Amino acid sequence: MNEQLTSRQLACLLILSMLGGVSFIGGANEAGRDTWLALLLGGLAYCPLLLCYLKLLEGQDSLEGVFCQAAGPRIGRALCLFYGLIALYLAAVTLSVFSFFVTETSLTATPRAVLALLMALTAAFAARSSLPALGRFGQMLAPAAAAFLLVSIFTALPECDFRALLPLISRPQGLFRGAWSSLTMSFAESFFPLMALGIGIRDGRRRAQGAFGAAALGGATLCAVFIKNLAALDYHAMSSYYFPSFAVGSLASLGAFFQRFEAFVAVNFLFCQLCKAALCLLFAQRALAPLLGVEESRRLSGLLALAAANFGLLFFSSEMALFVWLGLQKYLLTPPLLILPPLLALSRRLRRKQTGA
Amino acid sequence: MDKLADLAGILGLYLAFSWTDRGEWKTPGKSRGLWIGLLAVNLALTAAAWQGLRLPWPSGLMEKLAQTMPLLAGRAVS
Repeated sequence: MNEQLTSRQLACLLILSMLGGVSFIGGANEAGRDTWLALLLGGLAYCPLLLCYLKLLEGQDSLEGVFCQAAGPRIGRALCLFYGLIALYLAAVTLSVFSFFVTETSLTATPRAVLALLMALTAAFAARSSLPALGRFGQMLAPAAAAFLLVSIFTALPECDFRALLPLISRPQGLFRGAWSSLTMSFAESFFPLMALGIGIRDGRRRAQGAFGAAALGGATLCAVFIKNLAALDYHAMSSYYFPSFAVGSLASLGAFFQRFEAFVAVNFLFCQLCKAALCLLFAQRALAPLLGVEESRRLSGLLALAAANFGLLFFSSEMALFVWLGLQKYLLTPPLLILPPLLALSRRLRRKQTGA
Repeated sequence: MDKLADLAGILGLYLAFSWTDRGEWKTPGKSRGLWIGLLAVNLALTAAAWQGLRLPWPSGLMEKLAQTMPLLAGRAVS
């Protein structure tokens, strides 16, 4: 098998999918003002976990193979189904956040079903593409997203009062819970994109370079976004917005040439969400296709995208319901993303020792 | 009138999807059956969502938790 992705392309796609998560909205988690510290701690805790993820990928060129090698054919296929459904669920939540975001910020009268279906079908086109095409898409989009982000940080600087970051570590227990949330929802969710894309790179060193580079850059970016939001809005004002990054964008003024700068922030967020939804769908289709007896996994991309959009619509009745649930999502994601992968990596090691491979 | 426009938008999107995915439903055999079945399920789900139906999970689960175990629910979302 030839290399289908470079480490840079892998890093770009992983960063985009990290920024497509709820953390990029820029709100505080349980750590309150210390959310940026929680993000750093979550990033540090992610490093050993990432090693486990990468271990699972070694020498594999299919998702089914990844799980079967670690847990045997029967349990491996069951795990393949389980992780495929979790990936579909994450795509559904991403599409739900997208449709609520667009409804809240601009298209208030458009039914959410139309918005979610439009985004889902765009994500389906991306998920149907080959890995090299996705890699080129990521490599092209990531610098543009980074440029928008940098401009949004610089334009918000005049509004920033960095005393809002103090006092540091006012609630140590909250910091621990915030770090757990950040680890699960900002970093460990990259499991799905990493697995779906990682099988396109044979060289383990390059794969690790891309994955660790993405974790470092993505974590630093999320940290910077949170600090900017906190300093520009203050903690209490920030906590009252559903989408603080968008609110900070609306404060920035670049004169008559760049009016409504928040539109750029919104476009950036939507592109990142598109990337995350597409990569979760890519994982889901590759995991579910062998179980459904479908030879070419891309045949499922459209139907799975529609299913994700529909479940996204059926899950939440309002933004409040969505955000309350997002506060609890870490409990749901901890077993599949934080507990099972290290166990699978260990099991794979033991099985390989037993077989003498 | 608004409802009709919404319905037209949703059906238009489904038609556009079916057209772009026509390679799949033209393929004979098991694959075509799976494709048509899943498309029908999706269309039914979209219609249900458009009519305001919501699944009892996860939003309903949270409401139930708040009613039965308010302390735990409060701790979980605080």
